[in-house]
Amino acid sequence: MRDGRWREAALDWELLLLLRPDNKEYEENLAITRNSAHNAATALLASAVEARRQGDIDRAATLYLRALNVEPQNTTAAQALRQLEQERPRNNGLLQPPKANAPDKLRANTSDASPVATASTAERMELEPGIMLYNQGDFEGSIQMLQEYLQRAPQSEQARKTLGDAYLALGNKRLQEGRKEEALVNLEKARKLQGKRPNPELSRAIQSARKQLGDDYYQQGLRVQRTNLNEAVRLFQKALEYDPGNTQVTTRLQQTRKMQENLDSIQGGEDKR
Amino acid sequence: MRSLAATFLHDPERYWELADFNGTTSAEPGKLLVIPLQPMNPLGIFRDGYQTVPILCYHRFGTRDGKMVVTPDAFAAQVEFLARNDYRVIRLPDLLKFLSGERPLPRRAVVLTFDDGYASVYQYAYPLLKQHGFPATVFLYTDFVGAKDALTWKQMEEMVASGLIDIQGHSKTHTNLSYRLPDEDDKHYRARLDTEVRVPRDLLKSRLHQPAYSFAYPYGDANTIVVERLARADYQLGVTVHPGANAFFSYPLTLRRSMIFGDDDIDAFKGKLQVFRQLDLQ
Repeated sequence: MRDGRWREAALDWELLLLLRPDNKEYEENLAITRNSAHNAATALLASAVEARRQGDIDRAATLYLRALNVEPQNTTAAQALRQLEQERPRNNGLLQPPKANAPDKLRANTSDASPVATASTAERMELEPGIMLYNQGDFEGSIQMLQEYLQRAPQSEQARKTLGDAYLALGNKRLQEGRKEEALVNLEKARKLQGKRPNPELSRAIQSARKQLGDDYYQQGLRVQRTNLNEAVRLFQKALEYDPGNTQVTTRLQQTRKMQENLDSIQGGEDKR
Repeated sequence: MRSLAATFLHDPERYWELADFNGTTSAEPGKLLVIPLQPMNPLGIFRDGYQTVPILCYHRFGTRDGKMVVTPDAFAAQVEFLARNDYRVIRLPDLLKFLSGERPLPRRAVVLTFDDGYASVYQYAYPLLKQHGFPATVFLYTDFVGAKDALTWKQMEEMVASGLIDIQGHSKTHTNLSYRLPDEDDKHYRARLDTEVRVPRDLLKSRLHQPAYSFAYPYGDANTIVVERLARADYQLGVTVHPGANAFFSYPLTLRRSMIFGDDDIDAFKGKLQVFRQLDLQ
C-alpha cells in the first residue's frame, strides 16, 4: 500500500479476509485501502478534467487511465476515455466530411443486378491494394501500387485521384519530419495530378514549403559568408530558386558577389606582384 | 481449469480467467486457487500499460503474386505462430463486450477477419482455422456473390454451421462510401448509404440467419455520415483499415485493423500483433 499500489493491496486484504473472515484487522485494512484508492482515483479524475479543459487530451487520457489502474471499476474514468476517443477520429482525420466526385467507373449500382458489380470487380481488385495502403497510412506503398496500376489503366480517375492524395499525404508527412525538399517534390506531384481543379490548401502548402526552403538556404548562406563567399553565393542562389521574390536574399546575393569580385581583384593584384 | 470455469463461471471457455488470475495453467492439489467470480480488471489496465486488441485483415489466398494475396504456407505459419505463442483468437462479439466493459479478454487476444468473401478463404484459410479451433469473421460485399472468385452460399452455410465463422457485411457494391457521386446531393447520398448498409444486413439474415452487428467499410474508409448511417441501422461495430490495435475505450464504429499483406514475413506479422500499450500508470 505504501508505494500506491492500492489495487493489489486491496486484493491481498480481500483474499486474506476470505480465508479469515473474523479477522477485524483484515477487514479494517481492506476498508482503508479501498478508501485510499477511491480518494486517489478522485484526485486523478479532477486532474484529468482540468487537463481536458486546458486542451491537453493526451495528458487527460493518461490521468483517466491512471485512475482506472487504481480503481478498475471507476465508470466515470472509463466513460470519459471513451468520450475522448470518440472525439479523436475527427481530430486525427479518421473521419472526414464526405469527399466529392467519385469517378464514374466506381459509380454505385443501387439495383440488385450483379453484372455491373462484376464488371467493376476486376478493376476493384487491381485498384484496391493502392487504396487500402493509402488508408493504412503506407503512402509510399500506395504510390508505388497506384503508379503501376495507372501504367496498365491510364484512364482510371479513381487511381489518379488517390495517387494525388497519397502524394499530398506523403508531402505533409515529410514536412513534419523536417524533410522539406522531399516534401516539396511530393506536394508538387500532387498538384500536377489535380489537373484543372487545384486545391487552394495544397497551393498554400507548396508556397509555404518553398518559402521555408528558401529561408533555410538563406540562413545557411549567412552562416558561411564570413569564411566562404563562393559557397555563400551558391546557397543564396539556391534560396532564390525556391523563393525567387525574396528581395532580402537578392540583395544579399548581390552584396556577396560584389565582395567576391573585390576579393578576386585584390588577390589578382597580389599575384601579379 | 475448464471444469472449474464451467462450474463457477458457467462457461468452460472462461478458463483463461482463472489461469491468468492465478498465474498457472492447472489446479494443483494442496495449492490455493482463487476463482474471481467477478472480473477484477475488465478493461485490461495495468500499472505498466493497458491491453489492446489487434484485428487482422486478410483478403484472399493463393499462390499468385499480389499484395493482397497471402500464400497458404504463409497463413499456416501465421496461425501456427499464434497457437504456439499463447495468442488467443477471439470473436468480434467478445471484443464488443470488452469495449463495453462487460467482460475482460484474455491477454494476447487477437481477432481474425477476411474481407470481400473470396472463395480462397474457404479453400485455404477455413481448414487451418478448423484445425486450430480459431474463430473468424468474413466481411462479405453481397454483389460479389456469384462471381467466379467468390464464396458460394453453400460454402458460407457450411462455415457458419461449424460455429467458427461469422459472416458480416462489407456493403453491397464495395463502392468507397466516403465519396459522393458527381452531383449527388445530401438526400441521395444518404439514401445510397442506407442501401449499402441495409442490403447486406437483410441478405445475410435471410440466407444465413446471421444477425448483423458489424460492418467493414469498403477500402477501410469512412466519414461522419457513413458512421452515422451505420449507427442508425443498429450496427454495433465498424472496422476500418487504419492500422493499430484497440483499447477498451476505442470507438466501436471506427475500430482499427491491421492488414496482412502477401509480402509480410513472419517478423512483419509479429509486428502487427500489438496486444499491449506500454505506459507508466503508477
